[in-house]
Amino acid sequence: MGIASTIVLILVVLVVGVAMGGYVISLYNSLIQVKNNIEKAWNNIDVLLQQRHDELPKLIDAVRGYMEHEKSVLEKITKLRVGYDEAASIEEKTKIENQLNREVARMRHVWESYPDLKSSQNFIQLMGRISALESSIADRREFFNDSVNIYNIQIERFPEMFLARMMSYQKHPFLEVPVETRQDVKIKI
Amino acid sequence: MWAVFPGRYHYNLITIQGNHARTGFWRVVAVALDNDKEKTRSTNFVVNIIKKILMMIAGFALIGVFGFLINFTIPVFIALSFILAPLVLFVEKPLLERLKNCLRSVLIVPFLVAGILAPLRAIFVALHIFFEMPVDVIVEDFYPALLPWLNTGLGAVGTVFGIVGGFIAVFLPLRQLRQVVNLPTSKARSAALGLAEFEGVARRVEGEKRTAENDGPDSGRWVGMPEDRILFWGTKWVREEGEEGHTISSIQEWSRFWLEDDTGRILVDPQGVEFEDALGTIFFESVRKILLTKKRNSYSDNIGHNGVTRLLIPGDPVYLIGSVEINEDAPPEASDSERLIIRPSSELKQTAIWRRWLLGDAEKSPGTDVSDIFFLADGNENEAYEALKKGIKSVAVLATVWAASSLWLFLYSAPW
Repeated sequence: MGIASTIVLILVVLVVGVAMGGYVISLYNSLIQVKNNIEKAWNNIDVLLQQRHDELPKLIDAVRGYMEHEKSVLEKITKLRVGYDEAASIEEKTKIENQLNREVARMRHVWESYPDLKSSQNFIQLMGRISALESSIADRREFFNDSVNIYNIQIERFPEMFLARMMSYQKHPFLEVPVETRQDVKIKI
Repeated sequence: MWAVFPGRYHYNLITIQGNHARTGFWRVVAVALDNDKEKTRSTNFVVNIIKKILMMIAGFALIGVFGFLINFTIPVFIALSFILAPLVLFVEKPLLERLKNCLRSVLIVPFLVAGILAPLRAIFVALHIFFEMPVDVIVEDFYPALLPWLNTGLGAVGTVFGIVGGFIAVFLPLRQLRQVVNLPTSKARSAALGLAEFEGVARRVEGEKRTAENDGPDSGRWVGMPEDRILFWGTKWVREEGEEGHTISSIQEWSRFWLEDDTGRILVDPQGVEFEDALGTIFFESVRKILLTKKRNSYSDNIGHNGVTRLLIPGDPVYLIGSVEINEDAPPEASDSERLIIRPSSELKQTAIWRRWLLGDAEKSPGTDVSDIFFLADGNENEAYEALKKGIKSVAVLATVWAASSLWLFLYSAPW
């Protein structure tokens, strides 16, 4: 093999090697970035979720006297709230938050049957404060779910999936949209 | 005496309304042809095509002449870069810094000069092989034995330049592309401080004054410019008093605007950011760009010339990645997102250690760090992504051709 061919071969190997190495590094950095984006998005929404959770014990106290038959729902909400504070990872907190939303939605359906409760000033004020947080939470929920979507796509896309498996990255759950937000508007004719 | 041609004319699908008095040679050609109104459109179209062909030929001829001159003086350029590099010793700075700068200049500047000129030498070596054209005048006449070594050296440096330059010119936009893909879209109402991505519609700020470089569209020299424009980028021909010809100048005009989405609005300040109409820039450096790709009618200046114009007007879709900061100038009654502003980050980032030693930069120039992005495009995320990808591909092709031609020169000229 002549000197020229050797030089070309070495050059090609070097360029391809550096390009491949650089590509792998960029994939790694990208996965780290999308993972951190989830954490950043969660921290932004967590602040609001905590505020809403702080209102929940007052809400439960306000409805406990009226909704004596729904003790199990109220206890479950209390338990989930404590579980949320004790959760170690964002995935766990996301799952608990989704369960909490479902239980609060169940509770909302139930207190429709209690007209005395619905006219209680204390109850109305509490619901107003919780609702005020909802619009901010909704925006940040969308942002959080967008971050999760980008992350989930990246860890399942070729060739990032190989690196993601080596880094033990798993799919992340979305924050569910509360049922009452998803209900269609009823048109009265 | 010379006829004017009323009505509407079509030049390259751009419509110019009103009377248009032709000048010089082209007026003679146009008048000599059929003056009938129906045939005027096709006549002017043909005249325009002929004009463009002649200009292309002249352009290529000029490039060829310059190419010859530069190729034959390559040794002079390289020698001058060695001689002039130590001039930094005379800059007023501490002695140690001057010595460092001198060392850097001697090491880097000739390398850059050789790397940039290597493909040109490769072209002339190829012309020498096929058409027996002379390759060099200075070295061939005085030091003929040195010529193969000079060409080999140029080829080696050009190859390294093409590869390294290509990596840098592709690497930075690729990282920016990653940001476009990885950043989730924020809503105006709930924007968090720091780097964020937005999609929405541009709205004018009432009473906002525009800032323009050079002789802007508000100077009164432009015809038909929309009053409610937000951003403007164009070129125009300027004729100074007493001069025969025109000079081309670029005009950039910025104003702050609201980016409005379905949750609210947030203020954007793109002041000073460079414009692009397509991201095929050679050796893409800055990640601060305004990319306006939508073609609109050209707006002529008052001497009948027009050029590239790009506008952002109220109602245009906007895709933006920028740094969300607190707006110190916000009125006291402003709440939520109206207290914030998106603009190029003013915080300077630290450079890598190798760069600090090699180039002496302790802090990066604004816009060169991947997290220091300000990217505004008049479309949606997909369009911005495609424009960036197109730019990366064109730079990658250029760098490959650069490195390949230089490598060929190196292998062909190598005296062993």
